[in-house]
Amino acid sequence: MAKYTLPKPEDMSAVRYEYDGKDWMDVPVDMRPGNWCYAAPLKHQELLKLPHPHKWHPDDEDWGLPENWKEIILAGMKDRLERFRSFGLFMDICVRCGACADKCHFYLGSGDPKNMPVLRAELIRSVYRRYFTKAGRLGRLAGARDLTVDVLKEWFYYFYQCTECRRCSVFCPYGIDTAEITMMGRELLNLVGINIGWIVEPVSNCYMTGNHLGVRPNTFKDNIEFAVDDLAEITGIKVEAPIDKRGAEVMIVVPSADYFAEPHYFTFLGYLALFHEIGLDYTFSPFATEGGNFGLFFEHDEMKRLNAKLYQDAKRLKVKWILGAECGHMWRVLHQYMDTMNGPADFLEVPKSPVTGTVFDNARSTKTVHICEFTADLIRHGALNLDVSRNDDFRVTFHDSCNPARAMGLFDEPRYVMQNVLNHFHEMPENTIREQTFCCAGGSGIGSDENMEARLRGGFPRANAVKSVHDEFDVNTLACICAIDKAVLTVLMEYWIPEVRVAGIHEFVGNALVMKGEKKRTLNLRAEPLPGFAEEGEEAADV
Amino acid sequence: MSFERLLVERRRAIVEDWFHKAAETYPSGMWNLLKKGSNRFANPIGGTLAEATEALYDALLRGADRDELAMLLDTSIRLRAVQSFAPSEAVAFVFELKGAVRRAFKAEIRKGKFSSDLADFEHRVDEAALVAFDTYMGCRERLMKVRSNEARGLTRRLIERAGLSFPDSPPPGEAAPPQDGRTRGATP
Repeated sequence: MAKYTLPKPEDMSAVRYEYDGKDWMDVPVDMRPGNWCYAAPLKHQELLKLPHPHKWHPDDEDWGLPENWKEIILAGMKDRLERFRSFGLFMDICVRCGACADKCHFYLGSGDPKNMPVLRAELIRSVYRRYFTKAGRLGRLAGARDLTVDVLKEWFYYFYQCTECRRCSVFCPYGIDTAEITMMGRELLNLVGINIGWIVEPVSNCYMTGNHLGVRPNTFKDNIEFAVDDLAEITGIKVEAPIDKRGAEVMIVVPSADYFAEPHYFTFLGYLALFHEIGLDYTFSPFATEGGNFGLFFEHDEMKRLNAKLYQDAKRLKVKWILGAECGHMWRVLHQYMDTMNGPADFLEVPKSPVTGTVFDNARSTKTVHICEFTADLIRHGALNLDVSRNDDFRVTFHDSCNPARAMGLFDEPRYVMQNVLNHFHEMPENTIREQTFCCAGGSGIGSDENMEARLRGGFPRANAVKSVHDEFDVNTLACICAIDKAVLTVLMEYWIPEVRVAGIHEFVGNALVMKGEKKRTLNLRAEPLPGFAEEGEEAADV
Repeated sequence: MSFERLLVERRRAIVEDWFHKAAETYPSGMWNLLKKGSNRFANPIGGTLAEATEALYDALLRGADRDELAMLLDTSIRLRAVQSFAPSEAVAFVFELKGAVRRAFKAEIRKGKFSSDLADFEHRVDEAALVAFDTYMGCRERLMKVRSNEARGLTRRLIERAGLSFPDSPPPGEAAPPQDGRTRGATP
């Protein structure tokens, strides 16, 4: 009988959990600038009444931890192991097969073994084994280690180099959601006052004023009015954009970047044109002015609170259902966590398109429809008059934004919309799109500028795929349906492929949409000349 | 047989040796993956290095100019410029080609053959390394510009509405041509 030796788990993957021959446990974290984000400002920690608010800096030797920090972390871990069965399972069932190891964009872009999802999870799993399993007494033999300040720093360094995009979970044979391990790691850090400004400040602003930037209702109204004026200059039609209209059929929730940042703003103009054209009875809320929910990134109670806010205002405005815009994490919260936090939203009605009569059964519980589903349904029923040629200057590829793609399975609707409003659309390679999409590397609250290097290398797998369609098909536009993507991919392209710009899908819809009573359209929503109108556009600009 | 001809004949072994040395500048845990040279989208660093080393070798053999060398080095250096390498480490893999060639010509070198040919070739490698350094510096400058443009892009619309402007900041997507290896690296 032929001798057959079973492969060891570590032989099953092409990767090894080591640094130049050294075991990962023997390699201390090196807190290099460019790889971490600044701490949260004290006033925002205090405003949210976060545990152990204090001033600290990742570069400092002393992080100002509370004296009993270790007890706090271990108690927090015990509490979460008891409350969240998934966390306990994920701590126990990993066999370290390595299937996830080479699927993470941060690992593929950096080569740092602790960026492998399996090893990133081991950072916390090793502590779990030490304090919560019998075998843990064997220490290193059982893959266990003591919780020390250096371990805590390592957690901070690597859990904030994970965008919770969940690409790794797609490949895990056990279905371990590594993003949830990162979420637990960040929650535990928060218990001792370790969190970051780019998350805590938006959450605090959102809690106080309704959106990440702290834009107050009067400024929000001004911004909407600016957008209405800008759209009127392009189309000749001054649309209504109601705010705080009680009894409207639909409440619109957009990510705040849509009404002040570029290229988001052009997508926002697209929504306004679309809603006007189909005669939608809708309203913006002056308080629910943010789709994004950064609570998801560090503390589940904060996530719950911000999610509740949207529904509170839908209740106050007595709308029937909610239409959610091109936002990313908003959809993960809605589809995966809302029902057990604040749902179901029984006081609203099951969404039904007032134009086509389509009932969105998939949104029966949350009562919130994604705008791509809504628009795809309009197009499917021939409800829109579209001049596709207006988008002929855009040669487009589509980045599946992680959360709409992997957390809610929204793959085909955005593509259907694009195929109906664009003549030039090219897919990126198969293993970089749909459920295997590569993250922008700035999601989950780490799209900050102090960690730009980490973002640019983490975004390399995505940029590499965009470059392939840029080289092959002369693609010049990267479309996506997430506000963070629109900001982060713009920077990513500027570094890797400056010839490619970023756009939202409803920007293309707004360009192609032939509106009743519109003036002769010579400009797109960016106020650039439409194809064939370059000279007229220039003349118009001269006037 | 001439040195040039032998370089062509031994291309596969030399390029593979060079590529492996380049891959070994990353943590050892990643070597197997990088060297596997599978799908460039599943293995983007390995794929990039494999393509760069192969194309650069051919370019050096045909005496390509600095512009072409810069173009071929672009993606791998652009990557290494944001991978926490020291500047010297980021470009050092180019020099590794010298070792790969010397290993492939061990027998001839021992006999004292090709010494002037070898010196000429190594001079070309040095030139490619200098181009790599220009590209590296361009990438680091670009990184700083990208950071400042991002901050400005986020608030540009609000600032314009207040009747103010950034005189020197093009909006995102309309940035000035990159002042780096992509367009300038090879032309001092």
